[in-house]
Amino acid sequence: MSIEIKNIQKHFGQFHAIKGLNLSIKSGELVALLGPSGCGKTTLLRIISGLEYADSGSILFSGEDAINKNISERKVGFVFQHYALFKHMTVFENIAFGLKVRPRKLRPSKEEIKEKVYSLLKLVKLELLHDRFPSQLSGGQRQRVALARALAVEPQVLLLDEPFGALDAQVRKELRRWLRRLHDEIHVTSVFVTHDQEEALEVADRVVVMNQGQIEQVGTPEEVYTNPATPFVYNFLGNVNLFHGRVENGKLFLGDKEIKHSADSKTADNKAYIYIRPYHFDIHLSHQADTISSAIIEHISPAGSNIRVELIDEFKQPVLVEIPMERYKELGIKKSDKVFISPRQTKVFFDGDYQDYSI
Amino acid sequence: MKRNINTNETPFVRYTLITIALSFIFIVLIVPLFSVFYYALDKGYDTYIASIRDEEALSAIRLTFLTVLFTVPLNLIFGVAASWVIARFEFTGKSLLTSLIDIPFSVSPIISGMIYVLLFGAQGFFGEFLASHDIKIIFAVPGIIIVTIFVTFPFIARELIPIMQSIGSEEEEAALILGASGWQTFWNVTLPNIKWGIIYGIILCNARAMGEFGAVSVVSGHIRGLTNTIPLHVEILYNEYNYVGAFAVASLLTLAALATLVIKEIVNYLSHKAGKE
Repeated sequence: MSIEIKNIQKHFGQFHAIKGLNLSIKSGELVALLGPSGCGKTTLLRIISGLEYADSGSILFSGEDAINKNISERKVGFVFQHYALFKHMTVFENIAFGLKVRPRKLRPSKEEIKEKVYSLLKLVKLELLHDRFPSQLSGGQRQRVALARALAVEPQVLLLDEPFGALDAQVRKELRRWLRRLHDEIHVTSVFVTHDQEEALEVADRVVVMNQGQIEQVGTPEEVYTNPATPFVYNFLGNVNLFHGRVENGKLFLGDKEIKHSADSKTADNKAYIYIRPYHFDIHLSHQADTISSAIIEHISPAGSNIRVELIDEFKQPVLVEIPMERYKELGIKKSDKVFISPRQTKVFFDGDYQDYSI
Repeated sequence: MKRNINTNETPFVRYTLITIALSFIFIVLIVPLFSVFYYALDKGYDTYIASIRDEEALSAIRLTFLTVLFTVPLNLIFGVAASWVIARFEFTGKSLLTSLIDIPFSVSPIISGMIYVLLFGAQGFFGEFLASHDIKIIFAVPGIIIVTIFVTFPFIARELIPIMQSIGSEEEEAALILGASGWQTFWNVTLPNIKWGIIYGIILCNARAMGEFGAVSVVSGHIRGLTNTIPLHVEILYNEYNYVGAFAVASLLTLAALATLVIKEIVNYLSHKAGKE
């Protein structure tokens, strides 16, 4: 089922949580709502589910207005951040709940319910734990019970609120790959909320980056990562270094050095914000043509395949650079060395684009 | 038990404090408790039983149970509804409602009784209306029930509000999304979660409803065999110098209190066990 969100507004008292938001989600898609806490992503999810009402705007499920439908008519499955399993019911009873509460006419027989629950338990790989209580399960197991419970009513849309937020790193990674595979298997339109960019980029078909109640960018993980539309997205997706430059006569300057960049030079004299990813830098021992600054090495973290080097540039600002292990060995740099940094790739935003995104 | 020298008091201080606490409890609680049974059985077992099986005593016992029978269920319904509303919704006047619930705790029971006399008594606000329709509330059973409801009405609500607030509404939302109706959600999800709080509140409410003296005394009119509850009957017997009778009937209330205490402990134990599972 496709979802069409049109001009949704939502206030909580004085707080403007969602500011006229439009979004369309295709049938069978797995979409991530990504953003910092307080950006309105969970509110949007709850509005889609019907747990929260929008002040204005409309939501269409397969072209049909859903805003006046109550929760049970919307046929959504919802997985809560803290799972919200029924504590006093076993795993089996939790999953069967949605089927058991149906009106007599629509309720499946006991055998059918049993069959359905066991097939779901098999799907989430918890067959042996059917008679456990939620308190006897690990976080990852609870998560999967919550998912099975949501799927039991055969929802047209599956909504997940920070589905992996409460799990430890290892389980988290496993479960999100598993969720991706599960989605490929059952193909139900799914929307999940996360503040973890890695999670969004790895799992989702499309990522919706949100900030302050608005959408910053919608795109495939590759699009939003390699071609961020706004400074916010640049900041939010991955580490990035920001340099404050300026435009004079169509040329971009950082300090007194001119910097080559791909953006057109129509811009009048203006402030410029130069974003450079840590791995788009190279370190040299001597001054190069494309050097933008000299820098003193503050700290080197030699773990992993890339070496993270923290430096202080000539503007006294911290810079993070990542270079491959081989390059690091070749350079033979150590703490307190003076080096020169050159970007291979930059992204420039000009004044009007920029807002203060300190989170 | 191991003792950390740095954080614990010296033995002298500890034993002094323990002695003070224990002797205080002994003098103020234990001795009176035993004296009730001592005086009740002063003239032998037969007199004790006879005092309890006295017609007026039995009538007082019946009236007390009748009062409890009305008070506890009504306060249960009110308590669940009020705590639900307070824990789940934001509305204007919520903090006012929360403090209103506490009024019976902060007002002297005598005054609670007076309020109802002023409202429903012959000279009261509704007095004429009630008289013309031949309805008797004050100096009759309905008055006793009404003031008892008033006095005991915070117990269940007070017990449930923090429980409902700490549980939160996620499980209920989950049930609604799974297609459960409001009633199914309450019955299958909310109620099991607040079960122990309800039982605990009922125990406290029941204990107070049985033992309430002040407010009931004002509205009852002390008509023997008609509007005397157990506490009022005890007072009458005592004022007539019938000490054995007074203590015998009082011993019933004491036994009820002890039973309440035991049940309370059992409930506490069970609910903690259930919480740990």
